[in-house]
Amino acid sequence: MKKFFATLAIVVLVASLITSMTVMASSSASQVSKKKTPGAQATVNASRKETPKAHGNQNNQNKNQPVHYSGIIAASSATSLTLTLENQSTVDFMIDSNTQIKIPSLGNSATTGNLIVGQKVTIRAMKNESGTLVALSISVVPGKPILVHRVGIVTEYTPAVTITIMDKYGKTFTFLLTDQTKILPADRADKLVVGSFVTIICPRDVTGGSLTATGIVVHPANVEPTETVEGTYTETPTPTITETPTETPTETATIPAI
Amino acid sequence: MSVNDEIYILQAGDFKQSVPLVEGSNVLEIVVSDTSGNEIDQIVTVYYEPVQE
Repeated sequence: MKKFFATLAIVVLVASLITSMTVMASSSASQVSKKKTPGAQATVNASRKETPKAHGNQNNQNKNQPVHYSGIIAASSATSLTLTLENQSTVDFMIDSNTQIKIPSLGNSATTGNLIVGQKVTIRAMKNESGTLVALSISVVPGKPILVHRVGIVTEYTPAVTITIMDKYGKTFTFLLTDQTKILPADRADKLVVGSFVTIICPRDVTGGSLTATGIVVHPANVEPTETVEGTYTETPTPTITETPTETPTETATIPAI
Repeated sequence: MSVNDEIYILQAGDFKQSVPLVEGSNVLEIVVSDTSGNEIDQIVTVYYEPVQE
């Protein structure tokens, strides 16, 4: 399939994440400015609607253009899928050999056999000549991101083999390293040694087994904890959660013309 | 910040980051953390449907 690349500017959406994190970190956090981009707001809203009508794409059906549906799988087989929308109505889709199955954790190897009743999915579909909705793609929406971040001081490091860090609570984590493990930023890669302050990006641990680091971010020396002695990590001031955000984060995104 | 498998180093405050989209639905798994170990994540689905002439 021909891929299109567009530029998506995630402005206040991501800033809202930071805003929430800032509230976690400090009760006296300064207010973060909020931006609104009307056109982009519609884009984000669209991603949260469960019906094509709410998505604003119903007219596309008349133009024989793809329509997006979002909901929960009620039934699934190799040739069909029934989706329960947010309004509890159901929609049936035909699955054929051209239907793409997208599951983040499985990459390109996902098949209809990986679709499970109860999963949240988005479906891009188009009516065929007989009026049957044919699924062009079925994308599983995971409950949590695959990756997590771990922050700490490097206590052991063997390049391209393993790295062990100790977090601010004194808990240690060991990760496998490969040639594919990114060390960022590139100009600080050579600063990665025992004692470095780093963030490890790694898969979420669901098995209890060894984890392979996807990336390592080496932080500059000036953000390291002030007192660090080998084996006796002294944590920075612990963030205190003392208040709850009262505003709904404003989210905007823009998709410039291609 | 990581968006799916991509890692971005950002400065504190407001920021923006461009990510590539493919036609149809795009599930963006966004994880943001700071050097204190705070972490927050969000999954956003963005639809990209090119205009057909």
